[in-house]
Amino acid sequence: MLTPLYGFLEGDTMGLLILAHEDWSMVRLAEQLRASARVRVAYEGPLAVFHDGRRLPTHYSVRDAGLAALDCVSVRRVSGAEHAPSASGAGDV
Amino acid sequence: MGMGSAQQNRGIGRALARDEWQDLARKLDWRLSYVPEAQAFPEAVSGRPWLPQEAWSAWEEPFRTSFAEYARGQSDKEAAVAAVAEALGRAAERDRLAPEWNSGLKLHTALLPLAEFAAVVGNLRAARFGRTSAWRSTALFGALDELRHTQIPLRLMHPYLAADAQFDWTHRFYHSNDWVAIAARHCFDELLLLADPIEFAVATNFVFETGFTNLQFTALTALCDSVGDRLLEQMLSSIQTDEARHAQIGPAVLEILVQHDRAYAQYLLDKWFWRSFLLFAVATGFTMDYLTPVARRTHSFKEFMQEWVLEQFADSLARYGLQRPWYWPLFEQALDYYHHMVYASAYSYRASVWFHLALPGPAERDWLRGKYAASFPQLEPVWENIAREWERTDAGVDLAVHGTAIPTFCSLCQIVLCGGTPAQNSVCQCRHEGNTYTFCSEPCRWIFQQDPARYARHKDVVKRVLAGEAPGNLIAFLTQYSGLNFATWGKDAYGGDYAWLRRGPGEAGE
Ligand SMILES: [Fe+2]
Ligand SMILES: [Fe+2]
Ligand SMILES: [Zn+2]
Repeated sequence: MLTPLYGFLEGDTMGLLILAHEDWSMVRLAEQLRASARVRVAYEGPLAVFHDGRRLPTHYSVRDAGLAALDCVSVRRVSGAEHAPSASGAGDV
Repeated sequence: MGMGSAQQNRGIGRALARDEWQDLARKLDWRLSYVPEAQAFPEAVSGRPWLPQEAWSAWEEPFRTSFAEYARGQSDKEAAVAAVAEALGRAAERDRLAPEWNSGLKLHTALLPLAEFAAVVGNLRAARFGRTSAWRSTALFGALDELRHTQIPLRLMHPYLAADAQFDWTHRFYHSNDWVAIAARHCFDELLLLADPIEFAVATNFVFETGFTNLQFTALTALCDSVGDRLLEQMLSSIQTDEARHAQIGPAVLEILVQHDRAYAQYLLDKWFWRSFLLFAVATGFTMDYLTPVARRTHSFKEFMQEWVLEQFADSLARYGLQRPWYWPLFEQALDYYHHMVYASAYSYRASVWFHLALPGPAERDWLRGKYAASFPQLEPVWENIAREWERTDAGVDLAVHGTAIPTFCSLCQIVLCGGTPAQNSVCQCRHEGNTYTFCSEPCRWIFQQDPARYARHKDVVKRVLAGEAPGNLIAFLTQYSGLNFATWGKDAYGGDYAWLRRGPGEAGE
């Protein structure tokens, strides 16, 4: 099953549609958005996915995270140490 | 009045002075006896609040034009436009000007003519259903004005068509499903075709024409002068003289409206100020801050907005006892960011529009940093990155430096979700009858929520793609759905060939 999501990459000027497989991990989801925004935004390093005021654990799948069609996710840079499952993040959608 | 001088001498003894006959011709309201007033001017068409005729009796506007005066004045203006078309209306004239400036022309002359034609309809509705005859007379002239605003750009751009197929979009634009056309139609259908005369007066005549078209027709005219585009300058100023006259309907209606329903007046103002801003930010903001050659720029879009829109707008609000729109802090932030966010997005999706876009180089970025000290540093990495992408690519390989994913659109304004800042997009959502709606900004969501029945069934581009009504593949979307093709879709205005790009021999052609 594909889930259409609105993705917002930190540093980008626009939102992009991502058709996410329900078994994609949050890492895979974040990398997909980074690849889609490549013409405008290019930075290296770990990313985290935020939805509805919380950071989604990296090992979660789209299904685990309960992401539904047309949900908004923001993808933000995190430091390496933070690149682990955690609770909340500022500035999510 | 057409009275012969013999008759004048025998009968009345002298020709009537203008003021003696003027109101018979333009402000003559009589009590209806065959049908009730509410039947001749039903609220559904005439607008709310529905007030008895006496409530409108003090309605007045300063021009008080008669038909003879109108015809004489317009005839002179037509002669001036015809002269400039004769002198400058050849394709070679456009080649003198920078390609990005000509892009701004294509953007404007596509947005303008058929929207002006929709404004004919809005004016004609007021010419029949406006609540006092002086208003109806002025609106009738307004309809005639908007007809020439339709015809002038179509006439003036037509000679350019043979040499440049993008000029076909002067007429084609509103008949296409290009995303900009979907956004413009969504706004103008409501503003110009659906609005009752009261809403039309506040939205079109007051907010749009008294406020924003100054930006277009006064500030942009100054830029035409700086750039040396006499034809566009003549076109804009000819149109502006009409706008200045029929825009007077706005304050005249607003003055009576606030006496009877201030909350509704405030609502209309809040709604239409935001919607107008978004459109002008794209059309005029692009032209002023990106499509005018940097050496020719005089003011930034933000400075022009402050000088031509905000000062006057603040004065008018005070005059009518109205408040600034509730979202004012968001608007101020948007003045620093919004059109920059949209331009960078549009540049990276330039094949989705009918004009070429220019890449801001070091000189342009210096200028932008100077004018937008607070916001531009956050946008600059995007331009640096796009420039790096061009350095890895041969000039002319346009689609190699282009977005591939499907962009996302606001359920209200239908423009790409470019609100907020690069650090924090201002996207927000709501649910209505089981469906999800996504907005570029809080004001767009608020406008939707005030009147969901009006907006809920309109599908934005993403919903059209997901419903299978539009292709999800970008090239198919552009060619089969948006009405573009390789000859007409937007490319880099210089083919990505900028002297300042550092294209190493080994790097290009990757
Ligand atoms: Fe007009
Ligand atoms: Fe107008
Ligand atoms: Zn919007």
